[in-house]
Amino acid sequence: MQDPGSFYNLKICTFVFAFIFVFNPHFMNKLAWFLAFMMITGFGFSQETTCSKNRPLPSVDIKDVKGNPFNTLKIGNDGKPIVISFWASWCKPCIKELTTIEDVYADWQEETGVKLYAVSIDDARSSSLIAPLVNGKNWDYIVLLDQNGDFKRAMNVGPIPHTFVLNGKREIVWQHTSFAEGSERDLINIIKKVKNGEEIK
Amino acid sequence: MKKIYTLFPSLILLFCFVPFLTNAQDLITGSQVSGSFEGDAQYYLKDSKMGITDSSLDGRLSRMNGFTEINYSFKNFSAGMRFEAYLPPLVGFDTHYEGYGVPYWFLNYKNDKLEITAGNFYEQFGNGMTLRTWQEWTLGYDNSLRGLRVKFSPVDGITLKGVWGIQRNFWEVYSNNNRGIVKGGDIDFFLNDLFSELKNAKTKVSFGGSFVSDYQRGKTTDILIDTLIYTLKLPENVAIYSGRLNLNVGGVNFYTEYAHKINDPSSMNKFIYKDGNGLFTTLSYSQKGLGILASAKIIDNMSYK
Repeated sequence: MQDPGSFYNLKICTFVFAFIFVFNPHFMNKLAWFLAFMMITGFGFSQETTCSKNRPLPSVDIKDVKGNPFNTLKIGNDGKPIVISFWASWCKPCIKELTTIEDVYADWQEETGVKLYAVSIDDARSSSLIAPLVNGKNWDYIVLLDQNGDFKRAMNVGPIPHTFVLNGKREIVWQHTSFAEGSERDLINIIKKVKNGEEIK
Repeated sequence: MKKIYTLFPSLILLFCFVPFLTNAQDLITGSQVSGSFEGDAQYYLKDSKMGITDSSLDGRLSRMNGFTEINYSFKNFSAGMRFEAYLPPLVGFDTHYEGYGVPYWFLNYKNDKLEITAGNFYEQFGNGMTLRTWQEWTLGYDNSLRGLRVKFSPVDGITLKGVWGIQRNFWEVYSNNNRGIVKGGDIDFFLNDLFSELKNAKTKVSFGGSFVSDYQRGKTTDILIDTLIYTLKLPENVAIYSGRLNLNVGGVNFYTEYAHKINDPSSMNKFIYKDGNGLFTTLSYSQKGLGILASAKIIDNMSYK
């Protein structure tokens, strides 16, 4: 099967060739530029692109729940699915989502081995209450502190709650904002698909 | 003859690009583009009982805030920009925001030990008393620094940061010393990363300090006393420094930070030279099922704009 890239190259080159001829009176100059253009685009297009369409996790320096340095590249689960959920102590739907998932978290972990990272975007005024809050609510998640919103910005998060699902290669395959009762069922279905290596549309 | 002169240099120049472009394959497969978009629009209705008439909001009853941000990354490089439009800004947002443009863009290089950012960036030193530039779209808050930032970690456990730039002030272009130049540095030690024997210790200690100076040439302000106007020459250099400590022992967490500001007579403190002090301390204990937190804050003349 012929590589589709070379078709694009041919079409573009024909167009550019015609364009150059019309506007440039010096033939040799035109030819030189055209050959160069063909070479450049030829390299760009002639190879098969095998890029992954999933975005890998960016590297950002934030803090763990005890206030010590933590780099986001340490987020991992040995090839099993990962969920990252952005929340804040002042965000009621976020707390509702995480409390709802806590009720079924043990089952989820048994079925899929998933690990949930709850990233709090509370700033320094309220981030010291996160550890007592999380323990008070008996959450089993790994909690991280993103006090100045660096991780939030790198992940293009706007309003919270914003939840991501990552595959075994730590690439973002699914994301969702807002929370309504019952939407945790959609989340576990996505996690199961990721565990089975299925592609998420 | 003339044609050959133009031909050869062009070909040579283009051949120089070839080695770079043979990696075009990597450039395409390794690049990642991502972004976000948000638009908030409101239409306001007249209400004579509340006194809202045509002349309120100068007759502009439909308003919109919107932004689009695009980020690009390739291996250790990343870049991004944000286009914002407030046409006009929603009620509750500062009217100086009216307009549109690209107030935020950056170029970034990051590897294990070094990170360099040119352009706009957001940075916080410690808990933010000395320096905090951040953005909250929903509050209409954005004081990003535009300049240069360098983060350097010579060994695991020591992080040095340096910033130099000017802060965003709505759409105002920096010219003629219309605002201060912010220069700052921060050092952070995390002993459990620095000393390998402590890596898995139950007690974790980190501490650090920061220093920030704001320099604005020719800063003056006029005040009225009795019937005369006096021009006050304000200090060009205003500085703030702080020290902090974070201690974890099992379930107990103790954090304290003290900041000290000097040389800052401003309209906020009615132009006095008194030093500013800020102390922020929290102590918490938590275990599965229980969390206790105590915190104390003392703030005296700490407004630092």
